[in-house]
Parts: sequence; structure tokens; C-alpha cells
Amino acid sequence: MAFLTRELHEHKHKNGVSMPCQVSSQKGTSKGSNFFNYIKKCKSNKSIIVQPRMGFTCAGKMKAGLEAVKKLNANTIGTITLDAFTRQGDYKSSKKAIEKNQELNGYPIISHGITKTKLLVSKIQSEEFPIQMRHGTPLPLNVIDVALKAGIDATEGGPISYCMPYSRVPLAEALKNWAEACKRLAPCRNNGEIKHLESFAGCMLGQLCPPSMLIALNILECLFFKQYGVKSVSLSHTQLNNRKQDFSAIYILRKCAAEFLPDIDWHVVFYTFMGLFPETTVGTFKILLDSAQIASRAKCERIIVKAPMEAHRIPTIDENIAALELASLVGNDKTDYIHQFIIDEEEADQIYYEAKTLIDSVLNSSGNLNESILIAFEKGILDVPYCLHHDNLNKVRCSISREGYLKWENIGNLPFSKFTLCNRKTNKYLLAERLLSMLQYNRYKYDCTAV
Amino acid sequence: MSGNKKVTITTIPSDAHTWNLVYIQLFLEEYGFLAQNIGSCPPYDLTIRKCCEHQPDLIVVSTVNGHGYIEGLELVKRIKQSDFVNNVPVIIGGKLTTKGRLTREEKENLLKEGYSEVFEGNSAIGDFPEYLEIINGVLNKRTA
Ligand code: B12
Repeated sequence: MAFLTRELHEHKHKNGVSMPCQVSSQKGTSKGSNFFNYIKKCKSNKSIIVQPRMGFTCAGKMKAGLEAVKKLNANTIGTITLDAFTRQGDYKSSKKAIEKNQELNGYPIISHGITKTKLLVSKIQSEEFPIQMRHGTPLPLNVIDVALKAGIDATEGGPISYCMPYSRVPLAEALKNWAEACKRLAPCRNNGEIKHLESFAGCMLGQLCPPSMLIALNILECLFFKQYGVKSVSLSHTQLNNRKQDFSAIYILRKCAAEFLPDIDWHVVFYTFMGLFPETTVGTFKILLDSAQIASRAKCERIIVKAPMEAHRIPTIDENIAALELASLVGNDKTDYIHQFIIDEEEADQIYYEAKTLIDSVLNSSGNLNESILIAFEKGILDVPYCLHHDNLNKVRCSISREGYLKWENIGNLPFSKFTLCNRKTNKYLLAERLLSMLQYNRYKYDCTAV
Repeated sequence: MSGNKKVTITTIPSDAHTWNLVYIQLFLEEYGFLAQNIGSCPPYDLTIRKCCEHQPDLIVVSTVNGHGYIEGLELVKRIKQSDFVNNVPVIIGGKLTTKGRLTREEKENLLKEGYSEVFEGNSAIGDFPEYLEIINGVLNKRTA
């Protein structure tokens, strides 16, 4: 297999890969939001931005967490992650938990309300420290409304990536609600600010989804955002099980973004591994270190990190800070010439073929993007492995090849004419054991020091 | 294990995680259970309704998002109040609070409210087969 080194310099347009374009304001009235401007600034300094996945129940603790992130000697963006009750629209339960002093898995933005959240945000947010709301909500209109009113100008998700892995809400309903939410994030006559929306599609189910599907879903979600007027987006990619496949996937993600989103602002956000996390101290730092190297070599503008206790519980503020510090150190290390950006040409070509085939098949199936997405899932043209959501056919399967690449094992109804199935022999028995060993692939890889 | 024991696998209303559900399903099927998997974020009523339809011999609640203690209490309360499945043993497992482990008091409350067993931590899945052997013996005796 031929491994080639390809450079990703900003101005070398290879295979149509270009960097995000300038957004020209409609009537000269648009101005960038904090988030939008900050990304631009760090990009021109060629430094990677580090961001946590932090969210606490108590507003005081949330404030302390944001302040600690802001104080770090690194390029950081603050995060407010919402709790699972709020995500599901169960505001009664989050309110009750606050009253009973119970700890939730995130910040209950609706129960705390606009005034309190606005106070929190306005004291901390600045041009040098934007804040993004992360929320995992299939029907996001309420939380996005509150966030905007509280002064938060960036969020993330998408009608597919925040519906299928996060709920049992029908996809059609999520599409409708997200459409309204996107309109709120579009610059309008009264408020020309360019707000930011990130697609979470690079993290479908956290792991075991082949990169071509992740890329196709990213592009489709960003086209959906764009259709409702959103002017600044990011595309996501989560660390897989092999660095070369990561590089190849990010390379193709950029190529597709350049092809399909030439007229809006975009950047790439990288996620430290989103599946079953290593458990040893060394293992957790090794995987974090690797993810920061991959993100920086692939010139991702932003990285969302995981903290050492990930496998067990919600991390503390200090644990988050440690992870951010390490990621920033490694991600901005300009003296490291060992870990180069190397892609696997053959793999990249295959990923591109598959992603492009998926995107084109969806776009060509009807004149209406939302309808096309629904039809595609119904027919299994889009299909997420092991996803139990009712609108997902769940016919496709993937596994991890001998090289550590995620490969299709069964393509179900995916419209591919050219593909190679995974080279690893499948054991038809002990299915639970086999699934767990795939889910734990990275845990083994990083926890076991013998490499 | 006999092949006709039925199990319902469910989670709490706020929990979206599904790998745990898929894994537990395969695990139980390998132990000979006929499994019904309700999927992510089931409202309490849905779990009860599905259980009434399936008439399981065992109800397994698997949850990892950290709200397991809060909603797990309510879920078992409702199962125990329902007319059709109040006799079925219910167990809960996974990561049940945001702090890593339950306090002893929390664990006792879960048992008091109606769970037959609580599984958490690294040994959870290792301890599970032994429980299944015991419960299967009990269930066989019941049907005999
Ligand atoms: C993948 C993942 C996701 C994916 C899930 C995709 C999907 N649809 O499944 C995505 C990205 C969507 C996600 C979202 C969120 N996640 Co998440 N996620 C994980 C992650 C990385 C792996 C979970 C997993 O797939 N497990 C696979 C199963 C097979 O393994 P397991 O969970 O360890 O289960 C074992 C045991 O617990 C046991 N077990 C489980 N159930 C039962 C039942 C019985 C009866 C028995 C005997 C045993 C048993 O057996 C299993 C095998 O040994 C974990 C962290 C980790 N473990 O590394 C966090 C984690 C579970 N997530 C967490 C949280 C909080 C969230 C979010 C709320 C976002 C946030 N605030 O960070 C949202 C959830 C939204 C919601 N409504 O619930 C927390 C939970 C915190 C806690 N419990 O203290 C964790 C621990 C991460 C962390 N440290 O913060 N997540």
C-alpha cells in the first residue's frame, strides 16, 4: 500500500482542497460573532483552539469552570454542556433536581433561565473567549432560543446527528424543528451577526461508524444549515482507531467541504476519541496526546478534548483543565517533525468515492433536501451501524480491519458498486464478546503499554 | 439455560446511550433469553406498556448517563405499581450517578424501592452470569 505525504498548506489547492472562504456580508451589515471572529484570528496565527465538553448543574460551578478555562494560557473556547433532562425536554425533572441539590450530567439552561444564564455568560464571554452551547437535543428550538437570548452565539448538533443517536423522536420532526432553529441562527435584518453552528455528524454513536458515512452526514447537515441561512459552520471528525485512516478521512472531509460548501465559512473540529475510553492513567493521556497530534497535523482549527476520568464519571474542573493544557501543548508544538500528516492514498480514494456516492445519491433523490434525507434513511441509502433509532434501517455492519481501519462488513442497501469488505474473519458466535472487543479496541490499544 | 425465558431490556427516560443496550441484549441472548430491547430514552409508560406486551421473566434496566439513580427509582416504583408486571424481578446496572459510584445509602434505596439487584463498577458484567444462573433456577422452580 502506498503511503504518500500530502501537505495541507493553506494556499496549495490540491484536488480542490481549499481553505474556508470569506463570507461576504449581504449588505455590508453582517458582522462576525465572538466565536466566528476568534476562529479566524487563531487560524491566522496558525494555532489550534482547545475546548472542553464541560457542563455542571450548579450555575456557580459552571461559572468557576468557564473561568478556569478562560484563565488557561492557551487558545480556548468555553463550553456549556446541557444535562440529559433538558435535552429530552423534561424541564420539570431538571428543575426538581436543582431544588433537591442533585447532580445532573450538565447545565440545565431552561431551568436556570435566561436572566441567570445571561449574567453568567456576560461576565465571562469576550472577544478572546467565546462560549459554545453543546446540547444533544433532537428538538432544539427552546434551548437555542434561550441560549441566543442569553448571549451565546455558537452551538452545535444537527437534525440527524442529534436525533438518531440521542432520542426516539421521529427524524421528520427533528428536521422541522431544526429548520426553525437554523433560521434563528441566520443573520437577519435586525441582527446581522454571523452566528456559528457545528455539525456533530462526525461523532455518530461515538464510535464504529465508517468515515465515509460520517463525512456524508456532515456535508448533508451543513447543506441543511445553509439552506436556512446559516453562514458559518464547522464539520466534525472524531478520532477513529488508526491515525492514517484519521488523516485520510479529514483530508476527504475538507475536500468534500470545499466542493459542497464553497460559499459559506467553514472549519474542521476534531474530537478526542468518543467511544469507550481507556482506563489507566497512562492510557488516557496517550490517547489524548495522539488526538492532539492528529488534529494539529491535519490542521484542524479546533479540538474538543476528553479528560482522564472519562470512562468512569463526569470529570472535575481540574481534570478538564489538565486535558486542555496537554492538548494545547502538543497541538501547538511546532518542533515536532516526527508525526507528519501522512495519508493512505488508496484508503482516501475509497473514502471519497463512498462519501461522494452517498451525498450524490441523497441529493439526486428529490428536489427537496429534507425529503431526500428522509427517503435516504427509509431506503437505507443512509444507514448508521448499530443505531437503534426507528428511522434507521440498521442493516449495515462494520468492523475493525487488521490495520485498525473501520471497514464495512455488510453494506446493506448502501449504493456502492465499488467496495472491499473488512479483511477480518468474523466469528458468528460469541457476538456479545466480539462487539465488546470492537468497542474496546482503543481501550486495549492505549491501556496496554506493550506496543 | 432453557431457551424460552423472556427478558425486557430498557433504560431510563433521559438516557440516550445504546451500545450498552445492544451489548446486554447480545449477552442475554447468548444465555438463552428471548430479548426485547426497547431502545434509548423510553418514557416510563412505554417501558411498562412494552413489558405488558412481552410478559418478560426478567426486566433489565441498563443506564450509563449518570441519571440512573434519580430516574431508576421512579421507574421501578412504577413497574411495581403496575398490575401486570409487578411480580417480575427488575435489576439495574451501569453507571448510575455522575460521581462514579453509588453511596451505600443510594444503593439501599434502589433495593428498597424494588430492584432485586444493582450492578455497577468494573465487576458488574463479570458478576452477571452468576446472577443469571440463580435467577434461572428460581424461574424454573416457579414454572415447575
Ligand atoms: C459512546 C458514549 C456516548 C455516545 C452514545 C451513543 C449511543 N447512542 O450509544 C454519545 C456521544 C451520543 C454520548 C452522549 C452523552 N453522554 Co456519553 N458516553 C459514551 C462513552 C464514551 C461510552 C459509552 C458506551 O458506549 N458504552 C458501551 C458499554 C458496552 O460499556 P459501558 O458503558 O462501560 O457498560 C459496561 C458496564 O457499565 C456494564 N453495564 C451496563 N449496563 C449494565 C446493566 C447490567 C444489568 C449489568 C450487569 C451491567 C451493565 O456492562 C458494560 C460492559 O462491561 C461513555 C464513557 C466511557 N465509558 O468511555 C460516555 C458517558 C457514558 N457519557 C456520559 C454523558 C454525561 C453523556 C451526555 C449527557 C453528554 C455529556 N454531558 O457529556 C450525553 C447523553 C445524552 C443523554 N440524553 O443521555 C457520561 C456519563 C457520566 C456518568 N455516568 O457519571 C460518560 C461516562 C462520559 C463522562 N465521563 O462524562 N455518549
